[in-house]
Amino acid sequence: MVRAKKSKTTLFLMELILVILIFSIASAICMQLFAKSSTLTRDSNRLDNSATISSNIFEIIKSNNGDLDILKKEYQLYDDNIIYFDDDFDNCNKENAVYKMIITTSSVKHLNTYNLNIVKGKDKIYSTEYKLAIKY
Amino acid sequence: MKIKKEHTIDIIFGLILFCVFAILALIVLMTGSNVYQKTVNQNDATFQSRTTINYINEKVHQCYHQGSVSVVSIENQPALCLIDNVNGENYCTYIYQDNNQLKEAYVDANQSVDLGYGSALLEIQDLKIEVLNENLIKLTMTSIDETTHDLYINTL
Repeated sequence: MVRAKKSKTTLFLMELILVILIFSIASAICMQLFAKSSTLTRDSNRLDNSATISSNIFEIIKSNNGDLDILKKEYQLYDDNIIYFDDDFDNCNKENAVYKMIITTSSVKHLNTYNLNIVKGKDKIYSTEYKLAIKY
Repeated sequence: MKIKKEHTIDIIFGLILFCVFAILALIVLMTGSNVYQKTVNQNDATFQSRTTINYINEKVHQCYHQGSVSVVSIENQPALCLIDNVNGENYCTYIYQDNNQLKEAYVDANQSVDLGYGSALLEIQDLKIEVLNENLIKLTMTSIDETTHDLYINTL
């Protein structure tokens, strides 16, 4: 009788431990998926914002026949053609910046090439290239 | 037959283990629901705001030739007018805000249009259309979740 009771308790404990073990493994997998989902959402949001901002900046440059000076009217344009953005991708000053856009230009005859790179720290978030035929 | 008394710790240990299991299950469930809610909110925000901006952007680029994009007024409400030439006839796509809706109307360029004419695209809170200079139009759209997005359009 003692053996039967003891065996029942042990069996119950074993069952519970086994269930917790399986649950822990499933939870660990779920947590990883949740984290990945969160990262993917953030990255897609970031890429979408970067693409919209890059397109906006090129439209502004294009409206002034390729001259970058016009950007100063809409954005705070720092030396070396750098524009800073905060976490919500709103234009901000250098001190509050999370992201920065570096605009590099090159010119071959009448064709200007604009490389727009958005970086966070040392990580490149988004990079695009636009070409514009300059009118003289 | 010897009857061995069961220790209280046996029951307490089992209960504690069960409680730990229940708490962990609850935490995982809550984390999952939070992540799901965040993703759904993000998708909603994307749909509401960026879809509109991207739609207008694509629409503008569809009829991209000089002088095809302009800002007009419909019943004192600014509207984006995109001229398109079909078989020698000019047609205009008006994009404007009517109450809390972004509307689009495709009509003959010579035909007058009123705010109620267009078909609703999406719900928005506000749409500002500014002419920054002769070549540049700025659209500022506030979606119903109060996020603001800008779109610059070069009209050259």
